[in-house]
Amino acid sequence: MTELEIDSLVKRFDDVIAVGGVSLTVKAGSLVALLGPSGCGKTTTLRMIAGLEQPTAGDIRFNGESVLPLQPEKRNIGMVFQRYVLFPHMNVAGNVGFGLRMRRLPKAEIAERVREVLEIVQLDGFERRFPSQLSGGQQQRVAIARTVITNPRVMLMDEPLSNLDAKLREEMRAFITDLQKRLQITTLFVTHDQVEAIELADQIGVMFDGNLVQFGTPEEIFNRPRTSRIADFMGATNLIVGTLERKGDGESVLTTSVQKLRVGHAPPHPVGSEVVATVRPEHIDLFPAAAGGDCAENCFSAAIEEAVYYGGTVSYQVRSGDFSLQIKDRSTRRFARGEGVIVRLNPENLWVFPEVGGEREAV
Amino acid sequence: MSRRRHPLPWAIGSLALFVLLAASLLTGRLALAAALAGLGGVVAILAVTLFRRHQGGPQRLSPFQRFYLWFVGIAVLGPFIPLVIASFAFRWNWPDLLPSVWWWTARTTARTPRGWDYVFSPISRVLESTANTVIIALIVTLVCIVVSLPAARVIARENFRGKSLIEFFLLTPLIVPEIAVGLGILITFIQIGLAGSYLGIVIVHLIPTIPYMVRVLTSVFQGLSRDYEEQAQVLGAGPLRTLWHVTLPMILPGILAGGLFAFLVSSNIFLLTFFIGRGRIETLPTLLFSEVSGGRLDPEGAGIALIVTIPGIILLIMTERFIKEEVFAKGFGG
Ligand SMILES: Nc1ncnc2c1ncn2[C@@H]1O[C@H](COP(=O)(O)OP(=O)(O)OP(=O)(O)O)[C@@H](O)[C@H]1O
Ligand SMILES: [Mg+2]
Repeated sequence: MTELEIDSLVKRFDDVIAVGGVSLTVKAGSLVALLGPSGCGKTTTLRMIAGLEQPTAGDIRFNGESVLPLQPEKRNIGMVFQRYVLFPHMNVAGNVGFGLRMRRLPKAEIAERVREVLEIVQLDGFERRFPSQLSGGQQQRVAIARTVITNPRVMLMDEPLSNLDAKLREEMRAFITDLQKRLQITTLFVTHDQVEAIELADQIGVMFDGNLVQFGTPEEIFNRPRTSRIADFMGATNLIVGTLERKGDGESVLTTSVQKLRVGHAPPHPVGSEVVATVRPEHIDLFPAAAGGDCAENCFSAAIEEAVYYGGTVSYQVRSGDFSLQIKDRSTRRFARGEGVIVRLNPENLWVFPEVGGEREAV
Repeated sequence: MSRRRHPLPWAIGSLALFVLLAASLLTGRLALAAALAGLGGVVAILAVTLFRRHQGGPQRLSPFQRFYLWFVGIAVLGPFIPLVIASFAFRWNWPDLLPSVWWWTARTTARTPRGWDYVFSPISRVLESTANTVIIALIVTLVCIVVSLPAARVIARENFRGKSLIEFFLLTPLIVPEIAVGLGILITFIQIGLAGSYLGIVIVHLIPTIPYMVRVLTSVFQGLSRDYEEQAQVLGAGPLRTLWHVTLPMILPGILAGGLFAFLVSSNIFLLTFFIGRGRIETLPTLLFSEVSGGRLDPEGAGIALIVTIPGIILLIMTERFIKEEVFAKGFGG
């Protein structure tokens, strides 16, 4: 097994800095997701690891040994592109066996291995089909079979699921996790979908504008985002501006334009500083206005501005004074537009970041 | 070529061609007639391609479309009828509709070979010229492909300073008159001893063929995403094996289309071959020219004119089976 180590990697295209000094380690046999918005340099990072792009600075090491002097064909890497790029003039067996043919293995052995791998991706019997005769999901599985057959030291996947429909994507996600755990291939997986990253990865690296802004387990990134921008990207789309009023043992109080809010942790910034609290739409509780008496803290009344039903959940937009909050409610209760409600923000689900320019840093 | 183009301009074009053909045949300009017939062939192929794409599936043609197809057929094949008759004639005088004396009547009495006997006898040099034409065209096509592939790839994929200038220079052979280029080259080639040699002819044939080939292959490369080659590389294929196993098979239709045109262009070049060949190397165009330059429609000339069209026709039939229409559309889409 191979440990992949990226060390202060920089890539500059003329005057564009696509990757600005990224360092991260993918432990042997683990799956790391590189998560970030479009244009943040994810693909460029993968291409440098594959050797398809020459880094401007920095180093890439497999088990401590730099691979920069090696041409792409010598690095023994598997790469799955967003478009599956199956060779259209070869059938499934030809595509899957390509890497082994390039390694000049005997024909019989190639045929044997192709059959084994096709069985793993549940495509046995498809050897003679051509790529144009396969569905999107089948093509993607052929593409994956084609890369794992060579037993690559590192597997790179660039948004391999973004061309598939929602249901298939879920199936393929499970399939990839499963396969990766079984074959124990060190994998770097690029995506801009936070759900995908959380579900697949052992660890997540979040990238903005060519920089790695946070690296940690999915749980860490999801629950303890380092900046409000990461929180926002991870789906905590509600931002509440306020002033830090009091700080105590494991809790603090925030003054906002609507009311005081208790927060379930104590941020390190001084009392009186301007801060931003974030909360995920699915972490906000909603009650009918009549039940208001039961609610003791962090409650305020608000009006429903918009209600959209998505099978299973209802997405509300509520407003109270300056606050406009997005709420995802999984209960069977329905509120109509214009109806008055009580909103409760659980102190444990509020997370506070200082206001530092546009970027709000925590800790 | 735009996806939908009205057939009317083509109809008018073929009509004009037809009138010119009839006129040139009546005035006995055989060479002109043969050239126009070739042009008609190209029009016909384009028209058929066009119609197939218009339709998409079997369906009833409108009366206009049917008329048009018949019209193109007649415009293309019509001029060959007098040519065929002339090749079997011994005496065919104005204003007789058919020859007064046929070749097979005369062949027993004439002292020298006549008509097709002449065409196939060694003194006509038809076989030798055919071999020369085909061999030269094949070599030119191969060299042209080898030279144009890397050039087209770079033009299609990379952006560099002076790229548009290079593209312009690649087109200049199509703009500058052959005779101007030919004279200059002849003088140089005489000095360095390339005049009258096969090598010299191959080199000058590359001048008009490379621009076509580079143009066709550039658009082919523009349609081929880099991803395929990169995937091959990552899977362990070095540059040469990537070229052989992935790039070449994927652009084969484009190479065939370009090769077909290079072959046809090379086997039709008269002036440059005539200059550089210096009479020592005879190809079908130069042979036909020396045969008919007097402007008479004699049976021997008619026979050779028919022979000249054969390599092109065989090649067209062969490649038509391999080349998808899109490649033509792509290559000349501009
Ligand atoms: N060959 C190139 N030449 C110039 N700029 C480039 C090149 N490749 C990428 N870039 C720039 O580098 C930046 C990062 O690109 P990259 O493709 O790595 O983004 P990404 O994170 O993969 O985005 P996406 O999610 O949209 O695929 C972008 O601003 C892009 O415009
Ligand atoms: Mg990308």
